[in-house]
Amino acid sequence: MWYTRGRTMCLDLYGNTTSAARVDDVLAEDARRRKLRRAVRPLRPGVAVVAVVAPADAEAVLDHVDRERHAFWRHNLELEAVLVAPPGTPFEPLLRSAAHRVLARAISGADGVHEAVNSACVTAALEAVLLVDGSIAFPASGTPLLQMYLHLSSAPDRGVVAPVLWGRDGIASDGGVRIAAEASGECVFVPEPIHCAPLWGEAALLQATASRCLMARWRAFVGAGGLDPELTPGPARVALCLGAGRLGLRTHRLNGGPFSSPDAPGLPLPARLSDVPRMARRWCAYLRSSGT
Amino acid sequence: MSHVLFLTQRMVAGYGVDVVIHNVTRELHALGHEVTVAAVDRDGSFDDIRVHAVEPTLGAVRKLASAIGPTVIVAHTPPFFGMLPTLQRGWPCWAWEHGDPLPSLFDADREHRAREASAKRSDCYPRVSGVIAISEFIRRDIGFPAAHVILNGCDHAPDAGPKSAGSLDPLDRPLRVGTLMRLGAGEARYKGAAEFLDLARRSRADRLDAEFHLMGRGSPADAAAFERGGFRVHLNASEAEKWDYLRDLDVFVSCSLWEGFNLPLVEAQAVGTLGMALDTGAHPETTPFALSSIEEMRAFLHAVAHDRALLHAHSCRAYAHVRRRFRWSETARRFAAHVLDRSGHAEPPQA
Repeated sequence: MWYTRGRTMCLDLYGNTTSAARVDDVLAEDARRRKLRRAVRPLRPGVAVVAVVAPADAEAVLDHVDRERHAFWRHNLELEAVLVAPPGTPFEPLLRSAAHRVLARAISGADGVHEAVNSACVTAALEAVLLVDGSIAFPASGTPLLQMYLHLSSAPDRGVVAPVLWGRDGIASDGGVRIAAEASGECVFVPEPIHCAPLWGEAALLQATASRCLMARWRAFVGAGGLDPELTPGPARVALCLGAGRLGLRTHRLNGGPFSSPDAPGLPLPARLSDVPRMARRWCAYLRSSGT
Repeated sequence: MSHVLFLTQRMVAGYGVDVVIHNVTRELHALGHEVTVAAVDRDGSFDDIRVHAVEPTLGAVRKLASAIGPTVIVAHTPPFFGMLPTLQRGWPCWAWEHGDPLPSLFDADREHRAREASAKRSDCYPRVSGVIAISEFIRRDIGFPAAHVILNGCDHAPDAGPKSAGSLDPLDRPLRVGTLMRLGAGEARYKGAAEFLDLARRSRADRLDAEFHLMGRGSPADAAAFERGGFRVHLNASEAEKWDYLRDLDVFVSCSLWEGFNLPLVEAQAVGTLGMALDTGAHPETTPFALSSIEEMRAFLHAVAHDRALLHAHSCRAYAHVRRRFRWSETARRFAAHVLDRSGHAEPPQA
């Protein structure tokens, strides 16, 4: 597991991946990224909410987007919703939900959720994308998406912003991920501590987040290659943040909620065994060289 | 004190193995060991160590070994790997593996390369005292998990310290991007020549203000494709010119599709230049910037071209990474600990 001994990503750089397979992977990844980059232009100011959502949760997402849209319009910003059906869930109910809403559409994730999310993000052609799971509950009042967008766009070096996620028991369940390189050569993923209840609107710099709710500048999203289809969701989001950071675009945590999550406090779900070498090859030397 | 006999096809500048043998020999001398280097081809580039000429035959190697009485014989290249099982009867023998590029990356001698690698796995490694791999990647790639990993060094590169932020400004000068590799059609596929040309083409299409450079050994004919691609080509440069070139680049790029270590990439970082490479071969061990694709390289070049503070931070990161991790004294110390301290003196060879 990625988090063996609790939290450790072992330095297994190569796993069972052969040299030839890695060459093929480099060429395939190039084709995928070129497709991602070619897909759109020019960008319009605003946010595309890309929600991976089961039919039962779709209306709540659409309701929230509708509620915030007027606030966006007052700032001359667009806000649209794209519902992505996870594999194994029916697609038609999402199509019906989106059909009677303004600026909403649905796409199938049957061929891969990350591919669908990536496609949704680039075709939306808006300056920022919100990646959110249907399990996340939006705040009942306020304009948290607008606050996140304004925070993200207020400085050119901001690439990703993620809200603090709160569990139903009032304990922060996800405040970001810090990655430390140990003397053993292993990279340790630990939850970023939230020492006390952060102030409303308070922001903090993060190394990365695996959050089920994050907003990325389009430039950061595409520059980092979107969500890697070869990785499971948590590592893919961490890799997105690290990739953006390598391009000089930082990740922030913003207490702009309260967003709530059903997850237990602590780390997001463990990754597949096959995530380890891919993450380790691309990030361990980078993280270790930062002196963290 | 031990006496090491190193065997190699060539002690000729520009091949990498020669740099390893040269620097390890100097460090072993400093530890009080004696080293004899025997090479088939020599060009006089390494006149501060003893390099003997040797014919690539078992008889010639056995005669030399009998004359000098080495504690251990270490082969670095073919054809000497194939002789080791026989020489092992008289001396402890080790294979120091720098690896073999993927046969599929060659057109002319693909089958021959595959057979050679297979023969080493079956006939050499299990029948010698031990195998050294120059990276964790090589340990995996040669299919011999018992190999000892002894990393190469980089501190033969002149150390002028990390670059200053000011040297990477101003933004109005083009970004200097380059690589160093052997030219020639035979190795072009494995060295990623087409990929590097493609990166330059895409960067220009992206209106990146950059100069693309190439340094390497080869002929004007070898350089023609790059010159047509708008590259500035520096053919057959001297060692001093090489170090100046590497330091003057802003970004060193390796698009190589296979590398057992990639000394030029490490050398560039050791002189303070940001080095980036594809996630192939041993690159995840030798640079903090092992990128997933040419497209990611393009995005990365674009980012550092427009943010020289980022370029400076990443350059410092690369410099610290290789200077901390790759030292020839450590290479020699590990060799002595793994090989010499265990070998003892061998019996004289059987008649």
